[in-house]
Amino acid sequence: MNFTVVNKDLNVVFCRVTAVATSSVFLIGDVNNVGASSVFDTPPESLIIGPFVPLAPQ
Amino acid sequence: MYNRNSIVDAAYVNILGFSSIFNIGDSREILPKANVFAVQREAEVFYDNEGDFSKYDLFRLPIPRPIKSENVVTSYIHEKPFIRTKFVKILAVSTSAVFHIGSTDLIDMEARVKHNRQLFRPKGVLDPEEQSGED
Repeated sequence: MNFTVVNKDLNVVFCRVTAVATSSVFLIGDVNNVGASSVFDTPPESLIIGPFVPLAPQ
Repeated sequence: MYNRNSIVDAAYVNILGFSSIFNIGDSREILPKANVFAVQREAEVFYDNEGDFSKYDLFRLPIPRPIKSENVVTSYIHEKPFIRTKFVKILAVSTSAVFHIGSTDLIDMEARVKHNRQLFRPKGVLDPEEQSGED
């Protein structure tokens, strides 16, 4: 497949961002390839009620 | 590939943290990676031997990548060779995130976060809700 991109005039006055977080990108420019991966895990067993114990000790 | 020039008059970033990047200028490859083991406890207890990443599959297993099924041939026409921005204000950039002014070839980010919560009940003491007999 052939794909043509025409970039015209781009002029931004003000840009306010609260947060760029967990493998995300804020780019002012050109890029060929972006890969963004984020893994997040909070299973039911992540809530432990009882006496404190070390988690995953080394 | 011929890239455009980025012109930013002023940029303000309040916080940069946890393997995040703020780059001014062109770059070739950006590959930030962050492993986070977040523990929230009812009391301020800290064990210094905690958090062995290798014990969780979340931190060990490879992340699946999308498969390219079609070859795309891209051509670019830059009618204006500039990207202009007067002012950028960002509160925070965190956990393998990227704020980049300029052009780059590859950005590959990875963040793995595991959350844990521990609420304190001494041995033999039931939860107050359980004791009341209500569901």
